[in-house]
Amino acid sequence: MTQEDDFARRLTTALDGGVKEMDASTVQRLASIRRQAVTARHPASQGHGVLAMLHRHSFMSALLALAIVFSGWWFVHNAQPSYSAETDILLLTGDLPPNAYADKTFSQWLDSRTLF
Amino acid sequence: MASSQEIDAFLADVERRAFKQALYTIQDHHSALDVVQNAMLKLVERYHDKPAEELPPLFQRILQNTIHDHFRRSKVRDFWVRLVSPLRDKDDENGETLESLAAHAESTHQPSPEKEASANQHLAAIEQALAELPLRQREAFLLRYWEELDVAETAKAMGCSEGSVKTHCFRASNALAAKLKDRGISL
Repeated sequence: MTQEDDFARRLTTALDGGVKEMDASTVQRLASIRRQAVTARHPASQGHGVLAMLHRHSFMSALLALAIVFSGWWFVHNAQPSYSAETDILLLTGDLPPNAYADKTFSQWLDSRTLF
Repeated sequence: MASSQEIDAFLADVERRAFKQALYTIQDHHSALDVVQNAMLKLVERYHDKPAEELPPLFQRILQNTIHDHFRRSKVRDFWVRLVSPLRDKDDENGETLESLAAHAESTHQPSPEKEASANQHLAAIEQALAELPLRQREAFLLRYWEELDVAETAKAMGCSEGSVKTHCFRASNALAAKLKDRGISL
């Protein structure tokens, strides 16, 4: 044991004496706040429901919410219209040439025909 | 996972030393109790699922952080009080309010009832010498020697390197020995 260790041991032994001689009101107050702390677990953290689980894992819940929002944003901005093979076959085997569908006036003509 | 009984037993074992640690640093009885209460609440709320053997270093880390938080809040509160107070004394160069000076004088210069009741004058002198140490030196000394944490655990609790812990402990021991010698006390 070094001289520093020996000095520290004697000093902390004296401090232990001070702990034992602590006044009764402080001792009672400490016991009181300890009991409050031990019994004061947050009610939500003791439950078994979805909200209690979200509360226990608040960081993961926040990540999940962010992932959902980001997925929605990506879907809205990047989702491509779906093409079906049946539509392609109808277009290629129909009487109309495919160029007709690219003609802007063709859709106007179709609309005018539906009016009658 | 520690049971409520294990947490209660652990806290009952360390609560007096924790209070004394806070008191040596903060030098205010009520604030020290508040700090210990907050540290206990944080331990129970956040770490009740930890094994019982992990509680001592966790509690020490929480206690030190709570003490630091207390000083941060006090600094911010004092800043705003000085800023908005129309009765601020312009000649008060150190910027302390009369209330804080009075509280400081009461806590440091007047013996508390427990000290008056204590027959051991050495203890009061030791506690006074500890209170006069710089914050980090006092933390390192108490954690290393009073709480009997090893150097690595002390470094983890203080959030610093092991070399810093050794330096703080060495300086604290030397400073305490010198202060006690000045007061005519030999251990």
